[in-house]
Amino acid sequence: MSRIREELLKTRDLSFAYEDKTVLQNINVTIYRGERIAVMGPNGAGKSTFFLNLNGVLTPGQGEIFLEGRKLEKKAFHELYKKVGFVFQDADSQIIASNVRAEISFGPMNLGLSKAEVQRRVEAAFDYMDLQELKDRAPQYLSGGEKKRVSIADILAMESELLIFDEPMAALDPVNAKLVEQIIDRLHTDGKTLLIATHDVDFAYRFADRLLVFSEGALLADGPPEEIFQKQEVLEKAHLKKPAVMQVWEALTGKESLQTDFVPRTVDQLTAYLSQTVK
Amino acid sequence: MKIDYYAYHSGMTKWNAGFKVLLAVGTLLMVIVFNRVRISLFAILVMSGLTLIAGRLPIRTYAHYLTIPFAFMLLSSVMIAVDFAGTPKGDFNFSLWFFYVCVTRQGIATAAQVLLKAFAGMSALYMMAFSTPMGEFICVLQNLHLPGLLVELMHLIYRYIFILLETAERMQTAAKVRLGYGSLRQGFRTFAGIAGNLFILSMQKAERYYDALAARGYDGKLEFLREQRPVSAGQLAGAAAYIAAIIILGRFTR
Repeated sequence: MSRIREELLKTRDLSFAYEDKTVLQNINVTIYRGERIAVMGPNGAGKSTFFLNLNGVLTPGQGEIFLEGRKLEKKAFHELYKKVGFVFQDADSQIIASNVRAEISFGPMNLGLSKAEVQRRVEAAFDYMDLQELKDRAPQYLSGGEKKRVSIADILAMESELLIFDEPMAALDPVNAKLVEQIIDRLHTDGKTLLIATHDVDFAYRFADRLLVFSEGALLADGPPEEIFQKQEVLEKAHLKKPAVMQVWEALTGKESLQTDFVPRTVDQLTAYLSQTVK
Repeated sequence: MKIDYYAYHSGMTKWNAGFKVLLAVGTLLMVIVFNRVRISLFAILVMSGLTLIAGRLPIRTYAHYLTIPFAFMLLSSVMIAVDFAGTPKGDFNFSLWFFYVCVTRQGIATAAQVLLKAFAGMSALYMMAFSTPMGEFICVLQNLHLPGLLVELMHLIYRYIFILLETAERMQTAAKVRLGYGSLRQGFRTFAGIAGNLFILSMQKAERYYDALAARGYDGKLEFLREQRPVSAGQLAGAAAYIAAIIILGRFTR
């Protein structure tokens, strides 16, 4: 990457406990502008709690948060929602209004914007998520995929720079899962910074340029996916397996992925390479 | 619950909600104040016409939803028309063993009047219910300065009713496939289990929902963008003509 690395959000020794149960321990992460980060680790490893801390819903017991290099006062933590948007896993737990338009306006209204600006952002979110035809619908008459699109539009309308997705493809059918993946790619192209929790190693491998692995409340690994997926002890501890494309590639070349100059990340890249070589 | 579906898919959904509420409540008041058969009939005609033609509600559906209140109305009207007495004092008398069931012309007229009045009120309320989504209705209440806390509660309750129903339905299906309703006894046990679980689940989810609200900057005030739906000149003229017609029918005819 030749891009200049601009710091967006940083945590230093961030810890969080629910009553006396420690959920996060000394998390040090620096997120740079424009990054595509996949967050992995078993359920209960602390991913969701970490996200809620980044977004300001939960306040860490200890530790510091830096926004664009500036250290935030503890009192200012709850203002983080202005910069950090969070798309929940279950769209139904996010949607609260009785029609799509009102729903998408909820975030921008809370930002204290003018009516006209809220209107503009809601319209822009409709267009971006292709929701124009659903704008007067009630959430109870939307399909699962439509609800997911609404829950993403909710956050887009807040125009946050960092977008967090908690397992965005969970419980979606293949058509909608593909659609959401396309939306995520488009958001990256449009300059958003993305932090996505997922259990799908194949998705993480083709999407992310950086991987964070959580285990038992601690950050187990942080680095490029091709490096982390080589670390046997990390994979075992976090109960992850190697992505299929990586396994095939290593079986074919007889080498670890890092030692070859070209590394396919997707099935398409792999098949293209194979058909070329076979010919 | 089906009424909610029709409200979102009515041809009148896009009309100004305040206008519809005013029209319905106004009709209700006028029908009661004037208390005349021809006004009730006129109101029934206009309100049902709106629901069926402007709202494009299928007539069978409308009839179906009217049957239940109509049955009650009919029963109570019969009670108004009929009298019991020891002597045949009515215009029509039916001798029953030692007493008479008497019906007077006056009684029939009163019963018809009451029946039509109730029916007119019902048709006005149905016009509103079948064309106004709950969210918009709540906003009308908000404009009438109902306390903010109540308005927010209504918004949230309305939204979560559907989630609760959906969850209960899923639990019920899951219980059914395990023969949870095999016998009456089992049915009771299953019902109790589902009710208890729903409560616990609701408590757990409430926390999740609060996080989701806070994640979008909720600070104790629930505010949404409302679409302005101006009342068109045609609608205004129609309403004016309707009210004028009722007043003329009520005041200047005998």
